[in-house]
Amino acid sequence: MPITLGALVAFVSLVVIAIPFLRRSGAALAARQTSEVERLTALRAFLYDQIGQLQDDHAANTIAEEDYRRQLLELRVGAAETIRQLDQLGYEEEPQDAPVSLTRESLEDEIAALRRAGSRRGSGTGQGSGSDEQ
Amino acid sequence: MANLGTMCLLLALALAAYAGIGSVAGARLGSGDLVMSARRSSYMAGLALAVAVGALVYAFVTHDFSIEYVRGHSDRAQSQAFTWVAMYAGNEGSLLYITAIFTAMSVVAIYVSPRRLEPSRPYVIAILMGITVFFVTVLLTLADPFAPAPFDDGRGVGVNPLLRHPGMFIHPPLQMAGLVGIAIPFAFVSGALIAGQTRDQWLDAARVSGIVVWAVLSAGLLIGAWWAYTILGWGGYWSWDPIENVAIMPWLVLTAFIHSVMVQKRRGMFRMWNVALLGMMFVLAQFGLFINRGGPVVSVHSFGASTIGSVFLGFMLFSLAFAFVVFLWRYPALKSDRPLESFLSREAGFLVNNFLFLGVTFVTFWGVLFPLFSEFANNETVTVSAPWYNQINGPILLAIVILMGIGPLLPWRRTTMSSVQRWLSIPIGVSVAVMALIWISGVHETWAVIGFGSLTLVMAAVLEEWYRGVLAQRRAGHNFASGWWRMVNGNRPRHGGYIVHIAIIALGIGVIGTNFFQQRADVPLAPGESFTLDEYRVEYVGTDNEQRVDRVSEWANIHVYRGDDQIATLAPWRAFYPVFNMASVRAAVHNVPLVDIPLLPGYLNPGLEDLYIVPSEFLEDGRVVLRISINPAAWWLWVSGPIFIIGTLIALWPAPAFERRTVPARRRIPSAPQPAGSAGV
Repeated sequence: MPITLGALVAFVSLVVIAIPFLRRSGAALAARQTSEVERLTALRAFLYDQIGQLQDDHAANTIAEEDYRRQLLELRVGAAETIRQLDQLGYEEEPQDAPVSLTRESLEDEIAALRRAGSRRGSGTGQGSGSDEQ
Repeated sequence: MANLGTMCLLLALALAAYAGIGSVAGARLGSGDLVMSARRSSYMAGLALAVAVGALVYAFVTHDFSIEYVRGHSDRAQSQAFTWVAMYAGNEGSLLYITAIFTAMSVVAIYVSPRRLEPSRPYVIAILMGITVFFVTVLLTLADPFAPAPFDDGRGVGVNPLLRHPGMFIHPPLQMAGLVGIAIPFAFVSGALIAGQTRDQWLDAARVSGIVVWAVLSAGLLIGAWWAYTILGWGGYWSWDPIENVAIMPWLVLTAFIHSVMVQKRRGMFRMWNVALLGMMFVLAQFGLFINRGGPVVSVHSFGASTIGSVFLGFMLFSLAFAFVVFLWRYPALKSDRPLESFLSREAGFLVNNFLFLGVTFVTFWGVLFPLFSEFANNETVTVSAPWYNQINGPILLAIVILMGIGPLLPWRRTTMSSVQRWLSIPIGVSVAVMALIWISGVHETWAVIGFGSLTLVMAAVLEEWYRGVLAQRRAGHNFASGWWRMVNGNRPRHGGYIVHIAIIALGIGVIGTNFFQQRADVPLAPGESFTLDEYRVEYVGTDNEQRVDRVSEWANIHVYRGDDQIATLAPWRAFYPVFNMASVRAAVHNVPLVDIPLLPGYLNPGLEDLYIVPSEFLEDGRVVLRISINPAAWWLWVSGPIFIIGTLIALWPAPAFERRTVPARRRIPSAPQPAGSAGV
């Protein structure tokens, strides 16, 4: 009985590790695409989380205004880029109850405005332009 | 069962080796199928080791004394419940447990690791499975738990008496899991660096796995302290024993990491420092295994000198070299995004916090090694005991507590002295007021008063931070309760961390109370005699005894009075185990409540002090020698545990629902996708 159980564990292990070599290539491709969508949605969730935390810090006055604006811009640019990549994969859904401020349209409008403001400040002070951030 | 166990160990070795080699080969050759196959192999290695553990437990349950390890660590008299304890009571079994739990934790970490670590995951798997290969090789060659017994007398020796305690069901498993689990955050960062992911891609995986391991290790240490308090019979809970020290050193460095990683997350700084901390804690964990498994330092916890000590020393040196090489290789790419702008900033606070934690680690490390150096250099055995550690580490720990009160109130980046004064004035004012009150009330132990004042500072800082956060929520139209909840929900890592700070306050109250205000007496009493310590009169009523197959147990029946009121009936006991030629005691602990809350069990009432009684010796003339202690605030030590857990769970809890919810795609994913483009973020 113990030997049979050991042999069973060995057999199951062999089957499990052999499966990736036996799968059809189409299934593997679909799995990779699904995996990419999952990666991007997880990244988007992560960036939204970071934006929320940053806004809380700002509301509680524990972050300098300049730092807040710069970090917010970085995070929003990241979120917009992620959404754009999801679009390219045919995944257009927003999280069901995401705040209005985190929808694709509002993000892109706000990023454009922040970049315009950044460019004006940058040209005035001799710092890099907004296009560096893309 | 021995055959099944050995088969599974061999299978685990093959699967782990394939997982490590296959994943790296797959990554190098660009073969996704090979990488996937190797990853699945790591999962199956976990399964094989779980079956091996099951085989050993089954052998214990069925008293299979044909296996030497089962014969040496169990007998027919012991309760079936202690089968689990017996499984890891000795060197071989505990090593099997370590291997299995480490591989299981690794499998979970690999499975849930974030997708952005895809390029580095093969290397993470290789590092984790490399460690599994090392452990399984040691099991198969030097510490085989399934080795046959030279003879089978049908009885067995039994489990060590000191391990027959409820705490043993949780303390060793958690402590061992925490120590070996430290390899997981290390593997995440090392794998990422090898794969060239030198920015912050590994940060969240290392942070989350680091916090999980930290929580497991913290719980293990705290439950170990409780075990020592109730069974070792000296009335203390932490003795700076070498094995305690090698467990707390990685914990200290991990605590430093959990703080400094926040600076990297928020400001892109301390990247290099964090990588160094992870390497340091991994090497310290290996050092702990070396000391515990036949290292040269003697301890009540260690498994004694054995041949595998040198093997673990070799593995520790290899770990050190590996961590160092990876660090040096990627050193240029690890530089911070920006410099430290001001010493009046939260990141500077974190840096000082890190130096202090490393200071305690270094002192402790020196205390562990000094007896060895002394013996080597002077041929003289020196013992470094608790007073030495308390004298040096005590002030550093106090500085850490004070910083815990100041740090959270400092803003990121920089601030002005006037802002610091404004934010700190209330917590410092409250702290000074509390110190004055304590002094006026007649407590004139200077360090204790400063300690209580520092703990007050931490509490006031947390409350002030919460008050400011709730005010911000109030401005958005929420009431205090919902505002507090929204604030905590909005930044769970930070506010979970504050709850952990509250747990530290409880722990600190207990440490100060028991260290500065303990009263103790060792008294022989005849039946009917009593002894008064402070306001408690302890009356020894008589003795009961019981003879079992494996032990002779004696109970001291005791009545405790405060004034004329009997407040407790206690029965501490002492048992002698002839096979081990060893006695084990169990203290009776009565929690005297600060506030007596009706309907609440006594042990849940906030404690003023413990009355702690141990029978040191039963004399032939019928007298008993009792060690009686009053341990002020000891209850607060143990209550810190649940608060720790709550805080850690909040810090680790996934982000709010709307961000995590899986939303079905509006369209099905097309069969031929457009190029995804670069990740960019």
